[in-house]
Amino acid sequence: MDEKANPLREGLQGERTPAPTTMVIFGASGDLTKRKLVPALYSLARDRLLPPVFNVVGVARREIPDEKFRDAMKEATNKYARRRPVEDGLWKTFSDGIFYVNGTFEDPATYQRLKKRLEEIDKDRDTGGNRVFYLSTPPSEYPIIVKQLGAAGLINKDKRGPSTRVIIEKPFGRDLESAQALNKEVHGVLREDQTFRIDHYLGKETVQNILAFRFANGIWEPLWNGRYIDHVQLTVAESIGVEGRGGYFEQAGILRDMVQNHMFQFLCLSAMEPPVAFEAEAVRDEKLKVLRSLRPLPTEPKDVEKFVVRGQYGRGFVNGQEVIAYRDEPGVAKDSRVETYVALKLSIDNWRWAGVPFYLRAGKALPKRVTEIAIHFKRAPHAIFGQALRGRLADEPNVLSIRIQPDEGISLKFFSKVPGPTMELLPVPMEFRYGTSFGAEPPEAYERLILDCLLGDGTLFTRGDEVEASWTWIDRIEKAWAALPAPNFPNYAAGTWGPKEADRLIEDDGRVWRKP
Amino acid sequence: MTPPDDTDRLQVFERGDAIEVSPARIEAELAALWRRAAEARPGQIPNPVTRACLWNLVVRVHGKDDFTRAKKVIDDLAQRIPARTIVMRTEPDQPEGLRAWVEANWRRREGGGPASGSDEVTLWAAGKAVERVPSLVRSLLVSDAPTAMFWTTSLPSPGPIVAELIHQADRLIVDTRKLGDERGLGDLCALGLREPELQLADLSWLGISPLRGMCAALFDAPRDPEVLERLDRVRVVSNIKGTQARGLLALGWLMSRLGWSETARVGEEQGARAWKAKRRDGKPVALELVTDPGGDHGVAGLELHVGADVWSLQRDTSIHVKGPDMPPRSQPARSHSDAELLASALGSRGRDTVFRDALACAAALVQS
Repeated sequence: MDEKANPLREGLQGERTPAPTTMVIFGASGDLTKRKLVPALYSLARDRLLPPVFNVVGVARREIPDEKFRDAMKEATNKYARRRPVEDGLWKTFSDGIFYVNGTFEDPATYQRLKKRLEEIDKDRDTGGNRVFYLSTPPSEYPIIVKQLGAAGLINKDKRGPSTRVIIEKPFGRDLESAQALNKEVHGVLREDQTFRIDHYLGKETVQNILAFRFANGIWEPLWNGRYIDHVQLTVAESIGVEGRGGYFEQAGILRDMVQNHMFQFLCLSAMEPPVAFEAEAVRDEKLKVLRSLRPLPTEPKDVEKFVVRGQYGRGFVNGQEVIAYRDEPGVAKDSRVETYVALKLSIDNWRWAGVPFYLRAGKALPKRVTEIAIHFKRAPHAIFGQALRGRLADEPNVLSIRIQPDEGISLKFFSKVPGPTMELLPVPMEFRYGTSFGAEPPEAYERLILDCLLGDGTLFTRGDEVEASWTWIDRIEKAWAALPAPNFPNYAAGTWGPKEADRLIEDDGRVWRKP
Repeated sequence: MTPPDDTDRLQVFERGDAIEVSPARIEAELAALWRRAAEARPGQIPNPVTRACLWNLVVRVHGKDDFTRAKKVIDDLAQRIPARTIVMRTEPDQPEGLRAWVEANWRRREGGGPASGSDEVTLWAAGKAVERVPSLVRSLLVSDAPTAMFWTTSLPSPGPIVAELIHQADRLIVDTRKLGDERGLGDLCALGLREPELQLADLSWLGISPLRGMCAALFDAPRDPEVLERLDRVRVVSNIKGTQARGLLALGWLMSRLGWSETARVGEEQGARAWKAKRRDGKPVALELVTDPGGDHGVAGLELHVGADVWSLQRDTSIHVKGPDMPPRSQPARSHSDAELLASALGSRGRDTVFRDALACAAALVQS
């Protein structure tokens, strides 16, 4: 849209106020809307980051009057918003813009009702026709909704005129074929820059800080390659099991649930080349190059196991609490082959990362909840302090760890002389912690991502070709697993760091997993 | 601030209270106290403490009341931004003396224990000892952290002592509504011209940021901001305690963004001042600043006129927004504490280049 710049906006860029908009949430009666979306919108309103006129239209099957929907949203916001309880005055202003439309997602009449309602709202509240459609429904509904939105004339694909954007929740497909089909459906009615595939991990401050850390500091990039880095470990550990989500997890498994999206995004941000600018296409181009540089797995399924280890937890104890075996969870088959743990050894075939393995592991019912990226540097080339380093410490490298959650921060481990008459060395951490350095409460990931979408900034969203590239890789593993005999599950006890085979995956290379 | 017994020093430090130390031993005393705070007590495991510093913040206070107010602001600020704060209280007319106190500003972990803390040093100098303060401050600045000078109720007065302090600063923070005289806007503007590399931040300017954002939003797409070029009258209602700097800066902001020039005062009655200026197209625009003693909101109202069309922001407990062809609406209004504004001044908003332009225009209004 060619627009004359607003002269009063100069110097206020930091305010990042988007244009008046209506956000339509499909799946408005769902958990995500209550726990995350509406509380995030309220927090944005409280921080004056929403446009002066902003509307929310919930769409779901049940028939509910606007007022009842508002009450339900207020109750949810009171329970889940970052800043609560809600301020009544602010809620009144915010909720004046909340509406509800009922209908099934398959029924074209739903979209006609929605269209009529949106036109009324635009007229009454001067929204100017700008819309964001948020797809917070089961993934099977995504193609249906996108198609119906197009058919009802609710999408303006033209760059001129009011903006239309669509946010699609993960998972975007369950394999390459379904992701390609969904992309095709989406591109039938939307431009790619209107499509915002959300991965809430990318809205976390620490994840964004990976780029700042790497590319705003001159000291790291010269070291950020195979000459100085020995290997990289990425860990996404959850201490909880599936906790009642067994039915969902049986369809997904941790490879699809964690690795295809979150972990591959961390991998890309850790390994990508510097983008020419911090803007959507430049960043996403570089991320895509990483995914395309991943060395293909062997074609023989048996050989795949040399690079990928899967596991499933049995009964055990986490934090002193008993955890039932995955197969004993409701909705889980007694002979389930679904993995709750996966460890991978990846190689990136480019100049920067030649010879540097990336070890990824994700699991449920592990000893603690932690997400981190650990860069293990090569050891000093000549050990002049051999006697000063005791036992296993002699093998400890310098490690730069980027903690994404909890206790977000960055720490660098290096050796220091222990005060005293002898030359004794010990590793010491040099730490930066968000909580210590910045008193400000960081916004929720959804706040940041919704705001970016309202502003039309797709930098922290996943592009269609990225999604397909990651599924291409995941599909190879799934196909290999399908071809192999049933694994001997469960193969790790809840509350341990995963199966023995995962240890061997890294130990065979002369390395060990961190105990974060 | 009585000097505690040596045996109590650690407890006093851990409470966050001040301990008097020799001015020559400030760093050494702080280092010793931090070390002791981290040491294990008999029968206890070592207590991890983090000493954090993102800024050197040098605070200049005048008199006891100002000192008490500033200390409160610093305590609040410490919960938002860890900084080594150096409070300077100088009394050149008193008999010579130089004293120093140190304390920690703790950010407590949930449950009570200290999680992280930052240093606060208070310097009191009287008589000729005032001349020793800049060198003391220089020695106390944490290397590699930027330095901000916060003058609470005045502007840095000319002279070698202040010049030396300013020379060490990356950012000067003031609050123009507390200057006592609106001509201080001109003085600050002149200081900015003398020190072009110094970043200027003003708590009053930051206080009107939300209003500026809301005003700008009235002309965001899809609306045509071209209408701003045809404004023929602007009215600001200001009702803050102190100088009407916020109202003047609001007018200065519009003038600088919309390229208005040739400002001339056309009238002044009790509580109301009027100016005329020339728009970019050469046509006149009327400016009005009304002082309403009824509240303490800063800018309580802003009206932009183009003929019969009026865009307005009126503040009471909410901000009521009206404009032609748009439904009226209310947005929440929130007051910001000085500590919040100071934290903002230490962030990216503290280097807002638009401020210098607005300040120059506001100073021109005062001088015209």
